[in-house]
Amino acid sequence: MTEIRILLAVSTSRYSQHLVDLAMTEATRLSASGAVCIDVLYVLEAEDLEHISKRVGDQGFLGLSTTADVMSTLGAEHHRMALLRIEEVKAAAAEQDCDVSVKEVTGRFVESVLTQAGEAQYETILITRADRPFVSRILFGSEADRVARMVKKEGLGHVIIDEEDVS
Amino acid sequence: MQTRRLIALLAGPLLAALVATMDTPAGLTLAGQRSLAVLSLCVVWWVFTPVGLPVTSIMGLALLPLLGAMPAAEAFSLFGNQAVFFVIGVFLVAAVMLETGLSSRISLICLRRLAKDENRLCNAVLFVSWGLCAVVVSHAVAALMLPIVLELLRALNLGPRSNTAKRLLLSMAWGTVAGSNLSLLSSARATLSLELYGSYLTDHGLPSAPIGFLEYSLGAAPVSLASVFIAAVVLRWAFPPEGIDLRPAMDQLNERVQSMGPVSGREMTTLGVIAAMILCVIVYGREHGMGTVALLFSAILFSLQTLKWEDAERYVNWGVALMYGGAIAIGSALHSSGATTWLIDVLMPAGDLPPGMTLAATAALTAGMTELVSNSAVIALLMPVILPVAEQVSLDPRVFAWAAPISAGLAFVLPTSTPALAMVFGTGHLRIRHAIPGLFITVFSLAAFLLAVHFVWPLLGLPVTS
Repeated sequence: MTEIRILLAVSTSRYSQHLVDLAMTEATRLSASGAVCIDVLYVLEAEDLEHISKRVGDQGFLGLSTTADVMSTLGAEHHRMALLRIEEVKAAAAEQDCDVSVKEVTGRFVESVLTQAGEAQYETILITRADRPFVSRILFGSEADRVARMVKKEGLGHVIIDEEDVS
Repeated sequence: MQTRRLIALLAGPLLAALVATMDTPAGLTLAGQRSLAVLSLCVVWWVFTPVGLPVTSIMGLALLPLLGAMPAAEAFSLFGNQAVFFVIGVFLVAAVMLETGLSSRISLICLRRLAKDENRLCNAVLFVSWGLCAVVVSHAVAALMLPIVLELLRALNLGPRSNTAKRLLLSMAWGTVAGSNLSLLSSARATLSLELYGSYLTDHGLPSAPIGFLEYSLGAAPVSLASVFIAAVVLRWAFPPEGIDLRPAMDQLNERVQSMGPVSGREMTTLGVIAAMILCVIVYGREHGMGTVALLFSAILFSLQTLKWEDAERYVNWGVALMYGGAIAIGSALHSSGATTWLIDVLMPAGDLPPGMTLAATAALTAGMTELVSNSAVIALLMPVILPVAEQVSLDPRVFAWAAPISAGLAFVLPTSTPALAMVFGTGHLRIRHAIPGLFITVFSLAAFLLAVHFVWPLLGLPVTS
């Protein structure tokens, strides 16, 4: 039987229950053509933590040690969130009788998704937008759109961007 | 390099060059024009932060003599201002409180005592975060409370959809934001504001009227108190209790308190030195300068080995001295060159606005700006400009020495506003929409501020009209 792979790329700031539901709907649709496997890529966004670190150090004027402590506390919480959310995806996939594989990486969201997309043949890549102000998105673009553009350019699969923010 | 960073980096010097090279407008001196050029660069760099805040300050400081806005000797002498040393003292107090574990002990014991149910636990986090700010600078309180709150979330197994998790995190952040208005030890921006007010009086040949530690706190504390009570109501309304079992969190708190053991001699010494320092700042601060007292007690902390130099380096970012020293020099150049008076004459001809309306508009503008820009930068940018406004509308300029730092401490929504909010948003539990109710706190706190100005301050002997 043909194996069809779906990439569900999430991170601490890019996750919604709606996105997980969307992945399950997609899995059901594709299951007619073969066995569906959902690869969950959880990106621990180092860049987000760097931004906070900069804010704590530069605006809060707290020293390097305090800033490092804050970052390690936040890093641990991101990991805990990742585990909780991965459990949610696994539970939803079990209901649909889908296989799930999980990969947790630390890095930038766009690059991590593109690297993973290049490692396997994905039918569908599911992502959601980060919680950013509308103006910032208009002025500086969306990373989700960037992923979609790059994936299309490289011919790595079909991207679905979840527009609904219901986490 | 990110595009937005590059744009901001280039826009600052370009705007400064434009202002410096245009024809000098009537009524503005050449030094004033050059000061405004420096301010233009600082506005762009402080707002969009292509470089750190202290870097902008030192660039401004270097440009003042280079562009002829102020003689080098004068600019650099302002850099060594005693307000800068008081701010260093404020951060050293925070460092010793964190290093000795005294602040952790106080917060954990208070949380254990107060947290009897879910509602009280959230309120305890709010009020403990707020109360600690009376002595420890608010950003350090946030750094101290964040791991404690996250440990509680872990103990209670609260996930990303939990309302209680969101409420606990916002209680910590909003508590520190409200607490940043409690005293001169709560934030450095108030000291900057008072110093810019002092230099404004000196530069305009007005009699010196220093504002003391107790005087400032008495004026600011009613607003801070109103903010924290409003925050408690808003949090209760926005995130109703979920009826969770608190026992794991209580066990966690008990375990943490027990693991700390009895109060150490070092903690007792710290407590004694800080209490003595506050008392001396209140009693001798006006006469000898708050910076002098802060330096003396900082030296005592080091002499008693309560704080070691390497500890201080770990806890304090020395960029704070560069940021505040530069901001004071730039503010003074703007005042002494008459640049800000000219600017206000052009933008706001006399008699245009009633005093009450001007004060309310200034406070709202400051609070709004603080949602987007660091509150230190907001004070550095706005204070030199708004002080001449006071005279224009027959308000005592002293009112703005309170109004600016207080309203710069009323940003409760965006992660860009304060490190505390950046930290709690950084946990991933919150989206911006969850903090939108913070707007109610801002609005009601501004109302409380205006009420305090009109009804409480006169009772404290603080005049409102000049």
